[in-house]
Amino acid sequence: MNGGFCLFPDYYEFCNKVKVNSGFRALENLAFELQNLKAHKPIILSNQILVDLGLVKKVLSVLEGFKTGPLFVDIPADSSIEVVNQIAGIFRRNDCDSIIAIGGGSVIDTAKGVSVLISGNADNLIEFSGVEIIPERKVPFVVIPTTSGTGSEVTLVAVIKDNVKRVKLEFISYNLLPDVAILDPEMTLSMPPLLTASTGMDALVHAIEAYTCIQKNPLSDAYAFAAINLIREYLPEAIKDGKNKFNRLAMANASLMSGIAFSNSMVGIVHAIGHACGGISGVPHGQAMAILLPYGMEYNLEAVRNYFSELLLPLAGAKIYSVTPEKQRAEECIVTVKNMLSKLNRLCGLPLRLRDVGVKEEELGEIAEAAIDDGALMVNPQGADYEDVLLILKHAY
Amino acid sequence: MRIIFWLLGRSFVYVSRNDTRVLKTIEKWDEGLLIVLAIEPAGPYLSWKKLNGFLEVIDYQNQEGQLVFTFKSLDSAYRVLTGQIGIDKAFAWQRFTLKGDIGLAMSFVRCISLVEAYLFPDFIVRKILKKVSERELSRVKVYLNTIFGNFF
Repeated sequence: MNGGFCLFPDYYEFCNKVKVNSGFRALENLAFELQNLKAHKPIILSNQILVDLGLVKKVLSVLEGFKTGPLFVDIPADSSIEVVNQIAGIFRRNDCDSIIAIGGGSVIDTAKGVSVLISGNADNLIEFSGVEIIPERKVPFVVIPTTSGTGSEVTLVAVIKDNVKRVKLEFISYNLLPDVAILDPEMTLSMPPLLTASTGMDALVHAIEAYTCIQKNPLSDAYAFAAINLIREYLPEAIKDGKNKFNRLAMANASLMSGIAFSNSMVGIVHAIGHACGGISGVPHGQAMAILLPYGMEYNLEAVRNYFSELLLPLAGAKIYSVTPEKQRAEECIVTVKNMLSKLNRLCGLPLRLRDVGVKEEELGEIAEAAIDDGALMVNPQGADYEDVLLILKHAY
Repeated sequence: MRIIFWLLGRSFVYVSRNDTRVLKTIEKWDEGLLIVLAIEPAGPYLSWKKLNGFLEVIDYQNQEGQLVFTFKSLDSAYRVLTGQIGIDKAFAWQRFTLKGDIGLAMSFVRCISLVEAYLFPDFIVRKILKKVSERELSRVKVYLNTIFGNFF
């Protein structure tokens, strides 16, 4: 791709085969969707926090009269190979025939892993780590996200930890896509302001990186653009008024659209470094994304100046875009992101520096080492080595 | 394609023993690691193994490696391995599948990129690599050792 929004890359692939049920009381259609998929006994995956918040009960209440399999809620914050293997065993012992995932990225990724083991009739997920080697899914799979950020309900990626080797394994395949994603604002109402902000920023990074990395294509561009428009408009509102269902629904859709965008064009250096910050210093993913975004954009500026110029429109709105001289739009795009972060910091205390989220200065080298081995760097528009990443980390520290 | 695999296999082995950046990367790989390049539907194949701390070309047959890159077509493999498109672009265009740890694959791709910087002329290197690293070895030396083996 050598130009702007309207030009086509030499080649691209795009796939989104997830049926989306989005809206108020969308959850009510869950039983119908299961029947439609010929699912008769789903295993239900979630975590204890969502049980305590009453969200799992809310889902179970719409399944009254429908035969369900066991409920498994011991899914940790970082999904692991061991947990996936354990759940697959439970699935088989109980003769389940389908999967319902209720949760954020970790629960959904775990569910994706289970679907792989069941479909591949295998016992160990590790053998499926990689790109496009996962067998066709054979079990119906419904996802009900409870955060608005990961977009995992529509992505072809799952990240699952191998606790033995202490590495996060990536699984990339269109066969990981669920059958149905149900976006019901009731499921995200209980997110506190800081989590709303950090997951919302995760969605924003998905959209910006999808729009600027080398795998970008006209279809993913359209989703990214639409997602950013929604995030600009509704993320601050969802933080200020989290009980407003319309704000929540808008952010759920923004997250979904960002997910579709990056599922088909991937993400770049912000994610590569953010994954490493999470793995080494335990930084929550959304917070790492928010902190690193402006520095990643500054690093990529000269490689994708024209794309950043275009993104000023959804990021800042038509008024600012139209009064900003063309040559200054790319820089203004980064300034707009910084201003947005400052605003979210004032609204809910979203951290702005790595030192504020527990990263130790002496860990920066180790983080840089891990980041250059992250697959996301492959499609970043600008090449980056250890020194480049270290410099970005020092700026963000 | 077999000739290209032969050249790539031997040049990677030479660079892996003499370029400090590749040496340092390979140091971190597990002993016995088997890396395979394959082309759908029926080859050819190329595999390297880490033996006694160094990389060796093992075979030109299909193998069950821990890291397996499989090009979806001969055309894709040819275009990548002759410097018409970079590995990152081939990944973006979904021209190959990968079995194994993506982190490990990234370190392998970094090494292969350094090998490409020795094998291809500068105008191709600038086209296929997003960031061109300095060469630690002379190109002539890499070519001679690739073709004749242990030349000097």
